[in-house]
Amino acid sequence: MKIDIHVHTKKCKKGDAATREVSPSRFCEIVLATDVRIIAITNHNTFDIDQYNAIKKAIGKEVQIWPGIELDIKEEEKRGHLLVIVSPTKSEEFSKIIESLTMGTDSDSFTITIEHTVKEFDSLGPLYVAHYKHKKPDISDVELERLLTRTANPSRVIKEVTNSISAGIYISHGRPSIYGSDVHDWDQYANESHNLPDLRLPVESFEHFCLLLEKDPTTINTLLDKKTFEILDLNPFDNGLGLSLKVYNDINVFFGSKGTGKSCLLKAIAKHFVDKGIDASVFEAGDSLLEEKYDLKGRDFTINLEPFGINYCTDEIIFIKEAIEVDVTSVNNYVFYFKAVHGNQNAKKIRLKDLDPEEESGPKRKFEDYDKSDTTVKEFLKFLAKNEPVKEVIGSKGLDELVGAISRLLKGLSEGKWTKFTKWKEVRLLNNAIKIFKSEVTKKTGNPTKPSTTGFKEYALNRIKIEFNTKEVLKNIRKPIKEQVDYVGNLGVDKGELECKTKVVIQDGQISDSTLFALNGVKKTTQKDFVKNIKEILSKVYSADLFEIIAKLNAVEGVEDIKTINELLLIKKYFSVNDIEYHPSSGESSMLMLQNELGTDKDVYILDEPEKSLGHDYINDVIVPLIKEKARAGKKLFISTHDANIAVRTLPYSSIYRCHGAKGYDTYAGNPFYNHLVNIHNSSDQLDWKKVSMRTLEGGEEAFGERGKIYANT
Amino acid sequence: MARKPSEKEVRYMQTLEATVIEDKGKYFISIADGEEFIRIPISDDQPNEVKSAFNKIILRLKRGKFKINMSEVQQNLFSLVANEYIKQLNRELQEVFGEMERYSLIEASGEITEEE
Repeated sequence: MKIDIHVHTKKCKKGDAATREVSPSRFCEIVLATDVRIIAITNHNTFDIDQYNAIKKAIGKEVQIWPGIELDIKEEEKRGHLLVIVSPTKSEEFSKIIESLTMGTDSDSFTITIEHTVKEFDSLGPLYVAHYKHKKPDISDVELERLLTRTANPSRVIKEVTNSISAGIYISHGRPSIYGSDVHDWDQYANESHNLPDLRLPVESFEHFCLLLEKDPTTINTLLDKKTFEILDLNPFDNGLGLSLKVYNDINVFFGSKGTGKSCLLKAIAKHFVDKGIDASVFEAGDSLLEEKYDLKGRDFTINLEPFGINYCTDEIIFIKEAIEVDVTSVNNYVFYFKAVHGNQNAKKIRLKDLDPEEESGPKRKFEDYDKSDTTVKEFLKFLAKNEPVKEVIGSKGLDELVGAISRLLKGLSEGKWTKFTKWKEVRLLNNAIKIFKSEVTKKTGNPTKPSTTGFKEYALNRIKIEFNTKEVLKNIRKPIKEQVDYVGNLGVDKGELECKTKVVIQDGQISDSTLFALNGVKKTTQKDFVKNIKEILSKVYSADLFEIIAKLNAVEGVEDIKTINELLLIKKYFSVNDIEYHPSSGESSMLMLQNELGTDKDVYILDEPEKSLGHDYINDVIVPLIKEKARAGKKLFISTHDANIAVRTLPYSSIYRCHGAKGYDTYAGNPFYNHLVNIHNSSDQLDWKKVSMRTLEGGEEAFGERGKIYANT
Repeated sequence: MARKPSEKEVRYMQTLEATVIEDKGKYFISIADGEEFIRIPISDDQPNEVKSAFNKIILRLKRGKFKINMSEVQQNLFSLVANEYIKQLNRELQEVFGEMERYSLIEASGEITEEE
């Protein structure tokens, strides 16, 4: 919520720009698009009650429109401008006074003295806002003094300066000040409104604003109590002395010299929320933490390769490592058989032994194919039977027909499966019988039987499987893994966005990049040798020396640690800006850590000296607005700080001051709004919030100006 | 990229001719594959030689299904041994070919590559 105590809606003087003219409807359209919710209309020496009423009616209750005027004050030939703003309840009276005062003059020629102004308007309890110093034409200190002594409400005299920085400087010197847009061109108003003062406390009316100016404790406490708060009973210190703190769903600042227990307080607050089941932890600034947070060393890095279509190849790797040669049938067995074939007459009678075994793998494969189809169709049928969307699409009747057709298919598959099974087992039974008979005949007669296999099948199948498994491993090694990119934060407009990239590759036997490191404790040389040997195995899969290569593979140092493709991963985690590797400085790391913390959606933020290693500009331009944004969203923020930008410019609802005096440690609570810090154990012990802050905080003097944004007072 | 054999290459089984040869008093089954010969020793037990021949047969199978035919079977010992050996080998060739198809290892070039 912003306030603008100085706007023009009419071109009154010859020197006024035509762009100051605005119709009530356009005024509403422009203002409602901004955060400005209090506006004082202060045209030069004019108050147009009809326009004022039209604007007020059109804009409704969302924006407070205060009646006012910008008077040309003339004292001893010196001219200056003074805004006189009154309560909307007195607009008619105000209008009549002005009408009477300006009768017979025009805006260009009208002037009035301070004394006359007070005489005419003071009974309305107005707010006087004087152009001051660089805000031309200015009212001099002498004239201001005259105004302060003449008015019945000196607390309602404010100086108008040119911008928030000026306001800051004057307020730090104890002069209440504020600034308004003094709009010259309504087309620019939306942009200019961003710089207008904020109202941290909800100002309900002109009278309310005046009470805040007077720092009326009742008014302030009433406003603060409207905000959600809670009492925290904490035991932060070893001495066992507890303390109760009133904290708000807003900004709560802890300040004081180093070593006064602020960090302990934050830890106790974190514990308080954690005990209640609320996510809360103390954020501590530090440059090395960014690397740890993003795990640049990959200590905790894990990756699921399946989404990249990568098979871990666990079985394949075991198979290759454990592969052994399969022997072939000795040709002597054939020679012996044929030499002896005519020897034994009884043996000749048993013809079964001379039968050739039948091919078994074909019937077996057929059975397996039917079995697989049968299982898949069964699953599909189950899925269909209870799938509502399918039923909705084709209706109950359609579903019955579909289920019927698939059931018939399933019946055929089941029958086929059984037939294939019996055929397979029939062949197996025959082959076993042949084997047994051969063996028995040999035992009984002493004659060798005819070998039933050359050994080619088993030999070939072994090699085929080795080929298949090595190909599978190599195929998966070649698959790319998409680089993972995590957003880290913004390094500012000059540098851009910082990202954390995770490059993951699988060692393919040729990678020698020293910036990549191996995971899971496997050495890079082991990974490389492993893959090189796998490639060699494939190239020699149908060679006599195949098993020498497999033995070489098994002899690689540390190869036992490679059980899956996962152990062949190489990674590199790094920060980058615009796709170029970047090493953030300590300050940048701190900055990004804080950005990151505040970028995480939580209910409770606990920040311990967030300003560490950060520049004032960054705190002021990025962090303070972020903190305020969280506060507006009703989050609880607990910030221990030595930085006035944070402690003052965030305008905390609660300021907790810790100090160490002659009697030990003390805790004071207060806020910037009534400028007191009260000892939480002794309410008569009070400190001046501003003085303590200025003394304790770094950059205190400059920061105090911003407090003028509240309601222009010290 | 390895070339898969055409349907024709797979469907129409080729026949390789085998004979028994004698070389310096030792007997071999000699299988003619174009200008190449695959030799399997049958008079001496030389498993490594047999394995070497088997490796060649596997590589030949990658190019397509085939069977071995021995036209002249004589009634001497090594001819009988060779005939029986080839008969069994033929049966096993068909089984192995089926498995190679299953593992997608049939390649027209007969070469071993990393590519699918």
